[in-house]
Amino acid sequence: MHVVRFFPIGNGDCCFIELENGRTILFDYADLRDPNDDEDPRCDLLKELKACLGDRKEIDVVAFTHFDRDHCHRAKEVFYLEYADKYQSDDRIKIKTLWVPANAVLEKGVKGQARTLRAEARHRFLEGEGVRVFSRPDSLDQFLKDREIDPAKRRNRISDAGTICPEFNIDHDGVEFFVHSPFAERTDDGVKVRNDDAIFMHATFRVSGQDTKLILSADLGAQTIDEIVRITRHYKNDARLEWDVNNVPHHSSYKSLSIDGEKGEDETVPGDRLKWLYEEQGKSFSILVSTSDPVPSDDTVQPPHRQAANYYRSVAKKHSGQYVVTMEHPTQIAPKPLVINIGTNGASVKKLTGGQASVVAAAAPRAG
Amino acid sequence: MMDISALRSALAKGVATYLLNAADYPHAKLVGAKSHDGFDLLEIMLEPQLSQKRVVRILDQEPIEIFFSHGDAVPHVWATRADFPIDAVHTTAATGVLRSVALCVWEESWPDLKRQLTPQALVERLRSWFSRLAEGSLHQVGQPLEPLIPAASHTLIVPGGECPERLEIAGSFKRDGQMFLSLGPAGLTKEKPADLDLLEIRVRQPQTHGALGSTPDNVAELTTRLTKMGEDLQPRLSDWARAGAIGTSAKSIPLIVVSVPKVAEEGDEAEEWEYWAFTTRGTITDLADDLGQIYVEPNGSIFQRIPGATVDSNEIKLDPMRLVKRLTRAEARRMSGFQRPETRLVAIGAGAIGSNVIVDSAHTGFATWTVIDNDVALPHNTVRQHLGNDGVGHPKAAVTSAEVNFLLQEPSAKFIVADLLDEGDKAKAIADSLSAADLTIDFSASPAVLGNLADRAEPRRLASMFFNPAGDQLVALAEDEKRYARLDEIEAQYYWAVAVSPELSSHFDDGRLGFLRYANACQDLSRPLPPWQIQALSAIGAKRLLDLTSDKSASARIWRLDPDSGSIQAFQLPVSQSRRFDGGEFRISFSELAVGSMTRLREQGLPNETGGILIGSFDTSRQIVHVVDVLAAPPDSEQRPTYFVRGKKDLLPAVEGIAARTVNNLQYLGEWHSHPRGASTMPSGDDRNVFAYLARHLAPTGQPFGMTICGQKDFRILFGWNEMRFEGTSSLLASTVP
Repeated sequence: MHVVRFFPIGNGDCCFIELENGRTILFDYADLRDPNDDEDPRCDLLKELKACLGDRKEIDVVAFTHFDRDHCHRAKEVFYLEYADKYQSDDRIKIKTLWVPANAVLEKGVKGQARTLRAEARHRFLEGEGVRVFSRPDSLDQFLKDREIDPAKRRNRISDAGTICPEFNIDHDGVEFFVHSPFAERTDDGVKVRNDDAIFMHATFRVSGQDTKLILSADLGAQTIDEIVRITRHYKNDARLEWDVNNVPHHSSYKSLSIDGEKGEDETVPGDRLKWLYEEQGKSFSILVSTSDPVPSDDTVQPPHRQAANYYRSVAKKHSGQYVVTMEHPTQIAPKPLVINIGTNGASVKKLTGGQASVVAAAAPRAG
Repeated sequence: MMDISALRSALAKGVATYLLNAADYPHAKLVGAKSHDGFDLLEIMLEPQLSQKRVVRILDQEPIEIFFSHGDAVPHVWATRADFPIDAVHTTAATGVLRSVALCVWEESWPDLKRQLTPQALVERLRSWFSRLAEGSLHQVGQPLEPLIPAASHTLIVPGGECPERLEIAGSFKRDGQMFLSLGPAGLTKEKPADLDLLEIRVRQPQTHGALGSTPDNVAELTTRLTKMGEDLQPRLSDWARAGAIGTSAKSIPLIVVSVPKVAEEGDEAEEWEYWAFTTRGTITDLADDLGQIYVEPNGSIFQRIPGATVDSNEIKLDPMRLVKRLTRAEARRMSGFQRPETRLVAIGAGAIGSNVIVDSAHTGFATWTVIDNDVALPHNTVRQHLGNDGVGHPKAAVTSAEVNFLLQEPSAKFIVADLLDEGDKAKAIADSLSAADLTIDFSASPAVLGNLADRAEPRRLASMFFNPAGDQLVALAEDEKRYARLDEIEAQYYWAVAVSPELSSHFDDGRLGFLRYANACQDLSRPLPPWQIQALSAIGAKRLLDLTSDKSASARIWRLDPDSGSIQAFQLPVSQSRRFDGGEFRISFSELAVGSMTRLREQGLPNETGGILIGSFDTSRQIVHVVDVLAAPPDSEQRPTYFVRGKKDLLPAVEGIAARTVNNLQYLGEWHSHPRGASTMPSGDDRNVFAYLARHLAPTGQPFGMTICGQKDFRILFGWNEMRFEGTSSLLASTVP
C-alpha cells in the first residue's frame, strides 16, 4: 500500500507520498502556521513531516512546483542544502533529488526563500547531480553556456513535458510520474516556457495490478490546464489525465476553472476541456482535494472561492466521491492531515477516530 | 447545541454525548435526537472509511437512524438514504411507511455484546460494518444482505436448493406469540399442525435475478406482483379461504407461501428458489370474510357468499415472515468458510476416530462420503463414538452415515458394511467407491488395513488418521496427490520421526510392545479415556481432513494433547519419497532420507570407507521392507580406504531404544558401507561374505535382511527374505518420480 498525505496548512501545498517500498516523495513544503498563535489550526508541518519520516533523514525526491510562498515557505529552514554550509546542520532533511521547473533555475529578481531555493537548484544543476529540471527553453541552454557548460551534458537532468520521470519505475516502485507542465512552446523568438511555469504532475500508482491515478495541479490557471488537456488529447494520451485523486489547482480558485475569468453566481462554469477533465476523467468514488482554507459562505477575493468549490462538489457527487478541503478535514476546528491509502482497492481516505488509543499513544499532561 | 436531555435510553444518551463531545473527530455526526413513546431515535450521518473499489455502493456519508428502546433491548439500525442499495438487500422488513433498510449489525447475542459496548464502540462498529459491507468482506460477493425482520415476526424454515414438488408444514413451535415453522416436502410429516393451514403458490415462470424487488405487504400488492409472474392469486386465495372457513380448519391461522424459481438470465434453468411467506391478521375465517367469500352470522354460523362480495384487497394486510433456508452442502461450505469445490471421500472405519472426524467435518458440507466398516455398534461404544443409544446394535458404517445425513438438508453419506481385509461379495462395491473417491481415509486403526490400502491401485490418494496408545496424540498421514510417496512408506517414516524426536518420546507409552500400535479405543475397556479427549483430537483431525483437500503434498503430522491443561501442540514430521525395488516375490523401499544419510556419511568418511546399519520396518503378510534411515559407524569401527569393519560400541542399546520407542515397528534390517572414489558398487568378495553372514543368521528367523553399498554415483542393495534374494542398484541423484 502507498500512502499519500496532504497537510492542513491553510492556503498552501504540501503533499508527502510514501511508497510501499519505503521510497518517499514530497511535493512542495509550505509551513504557513503562525508559531506565536496557539489557536492557529494549521499544523506544525515540520513536526508532521518528521513523524512521517521516522528515522529517515532523506527524502528521495523533493519537488517544488514553483517558488511561491504558499509552496515553499520555510523550506530553507528545513532542508539540507548542498550549496551553502549554513544550511547543512545534522537535523536538516536531505534531498536526494530535487525537482524544479526550469523557471525556478532561470527566474531573476527573486528574494527570500525563493532565492535560497533557486541557489540550491542552480548549484545542483550546474553540478549535474541530484536535480531534475522540467522543460527546456532556449534560455536554459543559454544559462549553461554562460557558465561554460555544454548543454548536452545536462540533458539527462532535464525532463520535457509528456515524459515519465526516470527517478521512479512502476515495476520497482509501484508508481510512475508523468509530467504535463511546464511545457515549452516554440515562438518566433525561439523556445519559451509559459503556462505559469509550475509543475503539473500525473502519478500512476500500481498495487497488485490495480492502478490508482493522482493529479497534482499546483497553481495553474484555467488557460494552462485547458492547454494541457488539448495537447494531451492531441497525442491521444487521455489516460494520463484520468484520476482517482485530484489535488485541484490553486486552492479551489475560480481562475483555475473559468476560461473567461467568470466566478459564476453559485457555481463556476468550467471551460469545456476542464469540464472533460473533471467530469469524464474522474473515476467512481474518487477524491478531490482542495489544499486550502475552509470554503467561505461569502464571496471572497482570495481562494478558496465558494463557486469553484460548488463546482468541485458537483463533480464529486457525479462520481459518488468526495471533495475534501484540507482545513476542513475532518473538522474545521481541529483539522488533521488528510491520509489517503492507495492499495488494491484504489484510494481510501483514512478515517481514524480517537479515544483510548490516542490517549495511550501520546504523552499525558503534567499532573500536579 | 442539540438538546439531548430528553433522551431516556442510557445508551442513546451515551452515543449522542460521544458524537457531540468526542475529543477527536468521531467521523460521525449527530443530526437529530428525539425521545418517543418507548424509544429514543438518533439520526446520525456516518462517515465510514471506504476504498474506491466497492462491492456495494456505500457512500462516504451515510445517514442512519438508531432506535434505542427505553428498556434494554437491542438497538435497531436503519439506513435511510433514499437510494441505499436495496436491490442487494434481501429483506422483508423495508416495506410500508418506512422507506429505509434495516441493518443486521449485531452478530452476537445482545446480552453478551452489550457488556462491552461503549458508545464509541457502538459507533465504530457501525462505521466498520459499512466499510466491510462496501468492500464485500461482510458478505460473500453476490450474497444478499442478511435480512432483519422486526423481532416480533414469525420464522419459516424453508428447503434449501430446489423447491420440492409440493410443500407441507413439517413442524411448528411457538414461543411468546412467535411461531417457528418449517416447511418440508409433502407426504413426510406424520402429524400436521392442527392450527395452521397452508396455501402454496408456486410460480411456474422462472424470474430473472433483480426483478423481485421488495416484499408485498397486502393482498392487492401480492396479486399485482403475481400477475406479472403469470399467476392468478385472487381466485385461488378466495377458494382456499372459503373452503377453510366452512370446513374443518375455520379457526386455523392462514399461511401463504409463494415459491419463485430464479434464473440468472432468461431461458436458464432455475438455479435458486426464493420464498415469500405471509400470515394474515386473524383466522382463515377472518380472511375468507375479508375476501368477501363468506358472511358470519352473529351466532357464529358461517355462510358462503355466492357470488363473492367486492372487497378492497389493499386493506387485507399481509405480515411477512422471516425466512430461513435449510442448509445445503453448498451453503454449509460457504458458512464454514470452506472455499474449495466439493470432494468425494471414502472412509474406512467408523469407530472412535472415524465417526467423530467424519461427522465433525461433515458439518461443513465439504464432501460426500462412502463409509466402510464391518463392525456393529455395541453399548460401550457410545462413550467414545459419535453414536446414540438408537444406533446400538446396528452396523457402525450405517450409524455414522445416518448421523451425517441428519446434518444437512441433503444426504451426504452412504455406507458399505464390509471388511477391507475380507471383502467377500463387497469387493466390487469397495473397488468402485475407492476409484471414484478423491481421497480415501483410513480410520481403521489397523496397520494391516493401512498396508492393504497402500498396495491397492484403485485409490487416487490415501490418508490415515489414528490415535496413539494413550489416546492423547493424533497422527495424520497423507500421500501426495500423485502417490509418489505411498501411505505405508510414510507410516514407516512416521515411526522413525517418533524414534528420533525427544519431544515425541512418550508417543508409544502404554503401547503393548510388539502387539499394538494404537489405542484400541473402542474395546480397550481397562483404560478409561474421556470422550472430550477423543473429540478434541477428532476436531483437529477434521481440520486436517479439510486441509488435505488443498494441501496436495505428502505429510505426516502429530498433535499432542496435554490432558491436564488441555493445550495441544502440533508437530510436522519430515516425509520423503522412496526408491522402490521390486524383487518379484518381495518389495523393498528405500527412503530418500536413508539415501541422503548414506551419501553424506560416505562423503564425510572419504578417503576411507565407512558404514553402519540399516533401520526400517517390514510386513510379512505383504512381503515388503521399508528402509527409513541408516545409523553411522559406531566409534569402534575400522574405517580404511580399502575396507570397513563395523564396530559394536553402544549399537545394541541404540537399536533396542529405537525398537522400544516405536513398539518394535522399527528394527535392525542389515548393514551398509561405502565404497571409495573410483570404485564401483559391485560387491567385493568380502562384501559377499558379509551378506552370507547376514543370511546365515537372519534368514532362519524369517525376518528380511539386507546389505547396501553406497558408491559415488549409485548405491546397490542385496536383500534376502527366507529363501528369496534380490540385488539391484539405484542412482544417487534424487528422483522425484520413482
